[in-house]
Amino acid sequence: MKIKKAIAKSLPFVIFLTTIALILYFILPYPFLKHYLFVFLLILYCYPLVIYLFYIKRWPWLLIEFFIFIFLLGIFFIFFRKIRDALPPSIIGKSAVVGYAQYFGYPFYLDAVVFFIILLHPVLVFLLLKFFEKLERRKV
Amino acid sequence: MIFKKIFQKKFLDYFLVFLAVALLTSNTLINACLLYSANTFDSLNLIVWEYAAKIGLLPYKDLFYPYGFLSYFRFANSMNSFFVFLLSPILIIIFLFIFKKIYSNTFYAYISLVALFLFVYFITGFETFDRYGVLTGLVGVFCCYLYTYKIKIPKIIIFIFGITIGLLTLLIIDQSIYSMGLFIALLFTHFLLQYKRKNTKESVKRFGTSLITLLIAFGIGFLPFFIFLWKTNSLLRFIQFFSYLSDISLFAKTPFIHSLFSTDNIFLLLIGVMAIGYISYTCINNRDRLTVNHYYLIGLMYVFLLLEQKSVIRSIASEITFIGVLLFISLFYEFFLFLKKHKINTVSLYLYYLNFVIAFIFIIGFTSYSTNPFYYWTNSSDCNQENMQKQLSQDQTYSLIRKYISSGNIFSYPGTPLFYMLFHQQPPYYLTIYEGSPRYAQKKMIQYIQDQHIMWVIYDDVDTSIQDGVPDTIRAADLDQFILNNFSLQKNIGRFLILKRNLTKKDFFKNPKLFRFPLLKQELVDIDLESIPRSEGYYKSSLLEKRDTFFDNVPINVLNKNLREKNITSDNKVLVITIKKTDQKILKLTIRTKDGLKTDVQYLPCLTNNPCIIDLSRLPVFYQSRQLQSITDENNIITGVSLYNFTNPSLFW
Repeated sequence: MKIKKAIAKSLPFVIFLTTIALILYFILPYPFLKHYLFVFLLILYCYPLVIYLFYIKRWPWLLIEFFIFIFLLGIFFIFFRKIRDALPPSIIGKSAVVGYAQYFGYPFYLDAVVFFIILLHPVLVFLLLKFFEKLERRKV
Repeated sequence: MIFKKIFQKKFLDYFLVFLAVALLTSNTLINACLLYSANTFDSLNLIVWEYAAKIGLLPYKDLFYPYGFLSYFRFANSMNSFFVFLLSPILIIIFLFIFKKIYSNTFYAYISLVALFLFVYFITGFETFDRYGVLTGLVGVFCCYLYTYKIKIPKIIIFIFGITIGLLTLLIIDQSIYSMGLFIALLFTHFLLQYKRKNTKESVKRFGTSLITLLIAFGIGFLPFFIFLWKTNSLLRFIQFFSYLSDISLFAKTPFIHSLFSTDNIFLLLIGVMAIGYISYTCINNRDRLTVNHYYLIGLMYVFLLLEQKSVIRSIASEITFIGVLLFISLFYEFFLFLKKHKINTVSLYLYYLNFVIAFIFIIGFTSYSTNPFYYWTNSSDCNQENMQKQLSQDQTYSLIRKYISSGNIFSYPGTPLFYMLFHQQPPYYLTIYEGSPRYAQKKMIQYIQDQHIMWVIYDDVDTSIQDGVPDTIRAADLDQFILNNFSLQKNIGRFLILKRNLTKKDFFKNPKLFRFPLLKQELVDIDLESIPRSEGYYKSSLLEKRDTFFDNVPINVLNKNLREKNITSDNKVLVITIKKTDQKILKLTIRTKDGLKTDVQYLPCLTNNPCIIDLSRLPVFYQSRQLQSITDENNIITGVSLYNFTNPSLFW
């Protein structure tokens, strides 16, 4: 707990750094330095999230969830083309609609299914973890 | 009495905020003239819809219009303009109400409101905010009331919400319907969150009563709109409009993955996953400790998911980034409370918050809509005409065409609806072939050409931006066929080809003027069918019956020998091809006719164990009946060809 508090206490310093970086971003005339500053700012902006993840008591759950998210994203981007080509093309139905999906044979629901799996997976993961936790409690 | 109430301390801040926002957006009232800055598909449609409202055409009945009456008639009468002007200040005070309810820290509520306003002002633009802000605001207020009353939500509250969204159908129909769906989802979620096993019966009863009350109230609120539709004979068209909406998603679909890497989408994906993760974690593990902010986050999450499903069909990420910002504001508040527990200096926290706001508006680089469209000062009494003139002044071609066509009605193909304004003509129900993609919509456009005795077709051969890379001949094959069979090429003016109605039957491909337009000819004879033959083969090969066969899976040379010897016309003919396994990405056929024409057809290889199907009457060369001479397989890959005589071609594309 002490470490977590210490991280939280370090936040004013991060805030100070962020403010300086932000001011520099507007003042500096050099575009290439602005790119580095932008990345630096993004890291600083993400800092609170990291603290928050570590602070929550059951953080291993969140960590599991975080790895599942990265895993899903990875799987999706590595195999996207293969999944797309393996799925049947969009059907041209009774109204004879030929849009992008039908003309280029793009599987109609692919994006929706994949995207909503990525977006909604935390709900499923937390429900499952809760379920396992209950099972374990019963065993004890 | 009212003024006394307003100036009471309780309402003073709302009044002042309303005044401030009204002042800052007053240019929309002083002169409600919108300049659409780019000559784009959307801008042109908006201008022509304004024109349609001006000449008294009714949405749903006389032309396709996907939004509500509020925006349709906004320039048709000053009362509507005034309502549109009021929308932004009202929405902002609704958000002030929500923020004050959820954030116990009033200062946080105020600076969040300023952050939201600045984001809308610089990035989202009030046009977009007025649309999606209604849904977000209503859901926010509903969440606050759900939380406040916990289990016993008074029926009157539900009733008021139902009436409100019912009445909204008249003004902003899409947001009203979304609201209805989300309110039901929120009622159900509320029921689950408040559910206690020992009170199952009572909880179910309460949920059922609330749901029925909401539906009845919505029905009552919907009545004025229903009466309007009934009185104007628009009811049937309105019902058809709903069935048409499902077809919109079919032709509007573009890949989401490519646009996923835009700044707007990355931001929305990250903030969405974070919010959903946080709220699902809290609801599952700390159900008894939910706060009003958690309820609001649930509501926002539903709005986000609903609009994201729309975005997955065709990306609208840049229009809904403000919902990501609202999610951020609420998530940051949780973090804010956590840090306050650790006694972090409040000033530095607000400084940190300010850093985020500045980054959102000025650094991250979200797509900005704040200047398109923009309001401008004008002395013109007819803003719509002035807008048209501004668009026309960008291209002299329009005025040249106006001079060339001195009499007779025109039809714009594939769709530059500004011409209908230029020729003071009633536009067709679907302004372009993009909206007119379904077969029944194309038939409606053909009906328009016949009813209006169209003499001229203004064919834009260059602008393909509205068609997502799908050629006109493919997207609107029926309409294309009608135009090529009934109109003849006259000349080109700029990028437009002028076609005149035939008085006698003519063959478009035998018109000597066609040779002056090699690009057009090439477009009509080099047809890229892409995935259509493989898709048709995959889904529809079972529709083919042996009794209709001319040739059944014969080698291509046998077919050609027969074609040469017999007079077989292209009428109602469906070509079915089976091919060898191949690594080639694109295949090609050449079809020759006995009157000396030929057409090249490109297509993607058929799927394993499935044939490819090509409906010959869909190829421009065969829009008129011709005798087939030969079919050449350019890749030497076809193992068998069948030729079917199909009397019901509507089964195929």
